[in-house]
Amino acid sequence: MKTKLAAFFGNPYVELACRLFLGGLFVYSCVHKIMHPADMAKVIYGYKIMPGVTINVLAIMLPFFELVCGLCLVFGIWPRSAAVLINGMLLIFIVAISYNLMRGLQFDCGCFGFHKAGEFSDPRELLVRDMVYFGITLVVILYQGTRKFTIKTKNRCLILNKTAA
Amino acid sequence: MAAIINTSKGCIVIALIAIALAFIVNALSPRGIALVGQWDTAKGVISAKAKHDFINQAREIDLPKAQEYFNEGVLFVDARAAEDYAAGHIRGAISLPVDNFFSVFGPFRQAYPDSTLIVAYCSGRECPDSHELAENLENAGYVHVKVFIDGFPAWKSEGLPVEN
Repeated sequence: MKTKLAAFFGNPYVELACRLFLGGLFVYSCVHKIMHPADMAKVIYGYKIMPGVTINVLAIMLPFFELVCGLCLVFGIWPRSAAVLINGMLLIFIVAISYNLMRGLQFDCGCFGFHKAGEFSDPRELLVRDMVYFGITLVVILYQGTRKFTIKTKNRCLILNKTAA
Repeated sequence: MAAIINTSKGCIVIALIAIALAFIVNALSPRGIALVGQWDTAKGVISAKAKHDFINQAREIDLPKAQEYFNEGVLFVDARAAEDYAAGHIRGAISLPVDNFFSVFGPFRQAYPDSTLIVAYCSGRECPDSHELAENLENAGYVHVKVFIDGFPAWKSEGLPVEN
């Protein structure tokens, strides 16, 4: 069983599928945030966690982290680094959602679109979803073999000039 | 160890590219926002301070001032959705739902001249709809538009006159 699991997660096509799924997902999810930064800032405010002075800077930067990491995963540019950053972002989302779930605060996650005023996300559903994504990032991070379809030649990355990290 | 160093280097490069791109796009985009917004409800309606923000703090009035205007018979307009208005509103207020503004504005325009003093409200300091309505009214020619920032919930909880 253990060997079968190891063989499954060691399969380069499984790694590729996880990478394309995560990359595509994060590129898709950043579009509305980049198009509407003011709405994004309001969503961050709605979490009631971050101090006011940090909200706009986060609203400006976060979608571009999603975009650049997502593109890096899709095109196989520093895929492990991109997955580590996405993993970190998901960890922050999971902590933020759990904190609001514990204190019973209603909020709009803003993940794949912005809700109208008075409409909120279901935090339990968000938590499960983010944990699944978190697991998928681990597949990309822990993968040890040669990755399929990366921007590199003969296992050497064109940009870093070394094996894609 | 080498893998960790390579991964860390990649993280730093990706982060720097993302940060640079984010601030360049925000500076160039007409939808860009200020580096610091107004997120303190004690100071008024919250706002990301976008380049073309309709929130104008000069219009804002608080509960005592709104009460004073109400006692003077000033016209109140409700920016919330029609169903919220139907569930309860400031007595005598007229419904002008901001999401449906242009289809309900015609009769209002004919009934009230440009010089009418108008107080717009919605559901409090986290609600920008009253400012958006005020902006629409000003664009239509009204010159004395105020925004009651505490909105219907504060009015109701103070026991001030409401109706369904």
